[in-house]
Amino acid sequence: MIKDYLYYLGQIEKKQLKPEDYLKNILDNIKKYENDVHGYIEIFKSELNVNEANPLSHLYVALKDNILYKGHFQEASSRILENYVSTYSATVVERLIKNGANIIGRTNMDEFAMGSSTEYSRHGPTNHPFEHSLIPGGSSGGSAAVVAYGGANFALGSDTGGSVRQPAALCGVVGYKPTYGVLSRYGLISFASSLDTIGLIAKSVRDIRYVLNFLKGKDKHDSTSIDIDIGKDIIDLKHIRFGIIKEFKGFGDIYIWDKFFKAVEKIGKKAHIEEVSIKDIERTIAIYEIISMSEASSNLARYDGIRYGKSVKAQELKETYMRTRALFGKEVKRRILMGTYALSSENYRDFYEKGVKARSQFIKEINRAFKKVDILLSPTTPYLPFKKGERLKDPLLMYKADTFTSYANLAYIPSITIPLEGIYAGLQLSAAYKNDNLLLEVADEIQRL
Amino acid sequence: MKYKDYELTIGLEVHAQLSTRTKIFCSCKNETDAEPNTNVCPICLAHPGTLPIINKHAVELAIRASLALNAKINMRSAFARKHYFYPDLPKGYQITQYKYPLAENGYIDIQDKRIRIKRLHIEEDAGKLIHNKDATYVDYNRAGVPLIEIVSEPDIHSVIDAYRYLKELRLILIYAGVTHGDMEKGEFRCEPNISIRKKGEPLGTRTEIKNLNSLKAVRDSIAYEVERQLKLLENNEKVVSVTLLYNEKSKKTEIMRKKETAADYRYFPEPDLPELILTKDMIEKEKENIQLLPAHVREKYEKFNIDKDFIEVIVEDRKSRQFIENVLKVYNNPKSVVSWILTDMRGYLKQTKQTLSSFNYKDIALLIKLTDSKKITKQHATKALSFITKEHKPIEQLLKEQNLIIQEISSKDKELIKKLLSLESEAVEKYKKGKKGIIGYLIGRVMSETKGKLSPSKVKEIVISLLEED
Ligand SMILES: [Zn+2]
Repeated sequence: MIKDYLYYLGQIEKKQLKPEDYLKNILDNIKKYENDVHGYIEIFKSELNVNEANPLSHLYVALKDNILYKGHFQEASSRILENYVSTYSATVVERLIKNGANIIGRTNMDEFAMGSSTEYSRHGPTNHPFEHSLIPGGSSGGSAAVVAYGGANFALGSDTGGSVRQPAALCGVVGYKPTYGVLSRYGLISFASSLDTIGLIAKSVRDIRYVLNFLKGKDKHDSTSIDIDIGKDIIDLKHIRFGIIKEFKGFGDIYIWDKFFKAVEKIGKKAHIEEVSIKDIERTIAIYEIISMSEASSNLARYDGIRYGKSVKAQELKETYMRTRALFGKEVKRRILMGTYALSSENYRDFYEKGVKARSQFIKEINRAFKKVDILLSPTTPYLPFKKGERLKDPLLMYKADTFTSYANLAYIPSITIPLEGIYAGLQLSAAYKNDNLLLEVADEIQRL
Repeated sequence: MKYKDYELTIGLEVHAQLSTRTKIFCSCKNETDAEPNTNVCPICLAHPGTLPIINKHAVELAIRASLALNAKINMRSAFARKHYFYPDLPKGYQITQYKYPLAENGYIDIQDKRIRIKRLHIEEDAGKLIHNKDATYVDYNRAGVPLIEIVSEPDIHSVIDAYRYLKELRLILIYAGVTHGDMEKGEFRCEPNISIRKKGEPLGTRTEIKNLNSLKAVRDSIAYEVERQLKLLENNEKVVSVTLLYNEKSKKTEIMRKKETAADYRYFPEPDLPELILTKDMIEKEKENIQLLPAHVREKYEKFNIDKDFIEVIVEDRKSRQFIENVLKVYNNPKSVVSWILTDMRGYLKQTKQTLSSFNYKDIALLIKLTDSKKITKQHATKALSFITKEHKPIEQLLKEQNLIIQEISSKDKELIKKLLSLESEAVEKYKKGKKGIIGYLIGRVMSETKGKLSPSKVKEIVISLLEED
């Protein structure tokens, strides 16, 4: 039995647990772990309440620092947004609050969500919740870590190439990236618009499905948002066809693969599993990098020190721009430069345009695979949590963290990670476009096996 | 052109602000002249996390403009980002249309020529810099105001054609209700580019002129620039690719900046907005919304055989046109109505600094009718303008009170004329000896004696018959 949000909610309803004791328990966890983990940047303790009788009362949500919450600081871990205060709330935050949820605090992240270890933050790194010398994954490392140690019972992150699933896997919790557009992006600080999704982190799949119902759906502030149905179908695993992605096999850590196949064995007792080949899926990381960096170079152009945020004044306009934008961290600068290069008229055809073509080609490939199977299986990450600082000097190695995750963003499809037993790694399940309901049902069944 | 070995090519890029109630991607008011930075919000200030939502009415007006300009509308078009850094551009990029514009291949006719339009697309306006002596400020009221950009094909080879094209384009857009078109306010802006080549040679280097806020400025600046380039070419000097600013006082263009390298705008498809997909219904609806175009007005008045210059005034001046149309509803004699209103009445208004709006079209219709039926003279009709608005009495009564109505010639009047002629024996003698011209003098005597109440032509008839009688 997983002691998730719905478990405690049941206890509260049966009067076996007092709401204030539940909150106290969460705050005690923060007291116990936060000093060593550093998952939060700020905790809104005085704003919390326990009494409301709304569907999401007793939900204490940790917000990644790139999801806007009106009247609160919002920095995306960047010096360029130092002391910026949000003037409005993201649609998902509005919907959380409308349904009675509490926002417990904002969590640490890689600057502008660019990173895989939560080390590129102006607030310093977040540590792995249980192995403090290791990284928690990223870029939503703060969100994943605080849910893992019980400092929040739910968290929002953003997933552009794996930034929710990857830290969730490394911290041993559930991380879900919905179909593109299911959660409104309004109020999510953009990294790469065509890949960005808000993602959900919790202890269980059923918590995620429960909360998703209140957050999903079309938003008049986001013209790329869409509606989907999340019902409660009883699913028998024996009707589900699983496919292990052949091309990923053997890449990365053997311990992860070992645990992965143990999980597969378990599923195999209930369901049909086959190996499925998806052409070039192992190379989608390159497409992801080109597209995400190109869009990032554009999305981050607004941080110019003219209207808001930090500004370094100079005599000349150009100098103001240069000095202000020098406040970006190293990794952000690297990606802006590469994205600018890929979009320049000289290189557009060879990079950005090729990337877009390869992306649509890949979508065709993955659709073909979904004719054969319902769910794609792979580990969530190729690596276990590594030592802090270990990969800061090797960005290419750092980028490999997204090898198994970014294909779902490129294909706009839903994907979820659930913990693998006995190891800080995850089992990743992906479904076809808009098949979020099926994905969540199946993942829920598997998590209970 | 005076140097006939050369060929001039003028390209015109026009930006027109659409007359929507709100901005193109947010719900701020489209009201650029409000207090600086009062019509702004997180979206048009490009705060983190904001996304654009297309204003449907802006799309409708752009469709209407495309239809009015005979352009082929693309049922699918797409937005793109154009990047550059400038304080008036909040996002660091402008959302525009690049590869897939809303409409292409249009045209407008100017007199005997057809000027083709290459493309028409939708985009957002930038803010405005306000330079003070101590600092530069930015006003973002204009940031996100919907624009259409209309690009001409290189069909324009003379300054007068450029002028006529712009004038007609502006009128068409105003008639279609797409823009208010006030150039002073920047609602209709034009950036001409000018190149000259020796006939048969490849296109010459282009220069571009900015800061033009009247049609006259456009015309004069192009003319100046053509002369400047010709002089350079004649002296075997090179034309350099530059952006020029027009100085309205000195009537000269001044070099604003050299274009060292072509700017790289790094266009790419806007990922925050889906493709713009139109329906047949949207287009049909806009067809219905175009009720009148300048060409319709011209056609209508040409049928009445009205002077070309008058027609152009009617086409260009909406207030005069509406007034004339109203007068015609009451008194349907287009020729005299148009000519009286646009000459006699217009002159009077100019002199007295009044406008048409202070007059009731029914009064004016009656005045013209009375003039046409020779009940009053043209001069008296003009004179009547000075009092008909002041008193609330039927106009005929007013004219009678002022003794302005021409009376029928009675036997008593006839006697008076006879008596006058007998007093003017010298003149009568001269007439009889063949000096027929003197009749004017005799008529004048009668008219002044009768204070102009009699019809001059009738008086003439009677005077002649009396003179011929003896
Ligand atoms: Zn606005």
